[in-house]
Amino acid sequence: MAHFTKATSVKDWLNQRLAIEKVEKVMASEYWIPKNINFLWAMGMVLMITFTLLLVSGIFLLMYYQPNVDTAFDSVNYTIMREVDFGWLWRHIHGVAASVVFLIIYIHMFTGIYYGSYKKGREMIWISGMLLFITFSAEAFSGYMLPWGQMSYWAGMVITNLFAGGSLHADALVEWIRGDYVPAQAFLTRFFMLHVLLLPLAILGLIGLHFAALRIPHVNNQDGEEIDFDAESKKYLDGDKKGAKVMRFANDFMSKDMMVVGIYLVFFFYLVFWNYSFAMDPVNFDPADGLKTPAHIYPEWYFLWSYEILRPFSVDLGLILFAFAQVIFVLLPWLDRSPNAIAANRRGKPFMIWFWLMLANMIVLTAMGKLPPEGIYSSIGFVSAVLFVAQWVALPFITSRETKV
Amino acid sequence: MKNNEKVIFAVVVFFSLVTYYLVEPYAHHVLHKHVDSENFEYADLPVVTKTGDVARGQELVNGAGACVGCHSIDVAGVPSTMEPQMAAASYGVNPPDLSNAGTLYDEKFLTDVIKNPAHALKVEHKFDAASGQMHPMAPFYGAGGDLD
Repeated sequence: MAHFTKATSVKDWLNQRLAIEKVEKVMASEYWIPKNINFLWAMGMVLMITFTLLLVSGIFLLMYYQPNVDTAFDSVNYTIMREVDFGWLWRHIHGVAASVVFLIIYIHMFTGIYYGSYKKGREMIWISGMLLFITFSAEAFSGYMLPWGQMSYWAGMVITNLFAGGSLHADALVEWIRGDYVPAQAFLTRFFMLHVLLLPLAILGLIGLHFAALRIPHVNNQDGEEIDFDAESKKYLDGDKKGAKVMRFANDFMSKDMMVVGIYLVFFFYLVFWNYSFAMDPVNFDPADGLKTPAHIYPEWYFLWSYEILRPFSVDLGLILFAFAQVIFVLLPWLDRSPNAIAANRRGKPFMIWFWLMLANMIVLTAMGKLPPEGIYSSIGFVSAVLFVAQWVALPFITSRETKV
Repeated sequence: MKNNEKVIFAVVVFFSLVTYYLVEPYAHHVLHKHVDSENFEYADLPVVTKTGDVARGQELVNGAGACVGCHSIDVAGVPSTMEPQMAAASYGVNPPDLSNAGTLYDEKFLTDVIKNPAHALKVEHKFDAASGQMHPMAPFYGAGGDLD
């Protein structure tokens, strides 16, 4: 056993046993962040705060929610919304945060793509981030089942049907996932388990991996400049704070981070109190009814772009392209053959066009995914879906021609 | 690189708002067609310029217009020509009593529904004389050469 001396203070006592000063240095005050960044670098912290809001509001909702097909709807819409003091507030926070978290994830993701933050050395940051995106998607979907309204039921029906694999007719797999022929009690209970236990655990683990992946390559900067963190941090610690290209995570970077978080929270609570309806689909305020299909079934807005890639094609081709859309982002570090790790706008015309077209096209796909697949909307959706696939196929070719800037 | 936070913020807000507009107000406007309020003004129907003459109106209702052939007018002591069940079976509809029609309906709507019910009720896609589908309420074709 290590040698322990009589502690001179509580801090010293903890230091001898937990090395709290060392931990604080490694995690915060001597974890180095480049100075050449903008507010988009605060999105990680914004996501952490939003996830915390989801976790805390979720714990409060869990105290009253009942995962039973007969009582689930009323436990949400009657007990929580009307009987529990401030139950409506926790539900609105949970619902709005579940939607807004995806807006921030998309901003975070496109920031990464724009600044080339997935390039050599940072692949694990990108992969762990995409795994987080997938688990957040599963978390959002499983949570959407819980109020057991019409949209819960029919979204559950549509999404589980995807696992039949079109012509493969893997109907047994669909029944195995549902635990029944149709979404019913077994289905609700297992999605409840996924939503409140397994997926949150996976998310917590992946957040740990995401942070760990940042440790060695460090965060990127606006110019994709390779910074010698050892030399720059030494400069900082030796007193040349102005000349060093880096700053402390805490409290230097955190102070700006928290300012961005503050502005974000004003926006967030504006949505919670005054503009929450976008996160609360009116159709889901009708109790689930297996005999009454709603006129329009559409997923929440953050799934619309991939839904629209599924929709315009025949069943099998649609499923293949849908699967393609789900995994293709993960492969970005290898599909981008360019030697440049700088902002998209400075990598030359082809990639600049690729980036902005991808962003615009995903917004078009998102819009078309919600609109009824009729007339001009299905034509636009078809063209956009084809364009999405074509852009990814073209990416290795256009980036391999890029010259070092 | 110059730190251009305002421009970056504007870009983020712009794309977020475009997405919001398309997914929420625009999509819902397409999914759920606009329904006019109770103050609907029938702007698509022609403006009524002529003033009526009560005596001639009564003459028309009872005579050439043949309104009372189907409709009852309780306040004027005009009974309906058929029992409701019978009327429903014959016409597919039950002709409403006209006692309060003048108060109940907008002036523009009332004049137009008499002249062309399928048009005023916006059911021309179902009742098209050319395809042999007449509206259960026959249009008034005019009396004495002047439709209005």
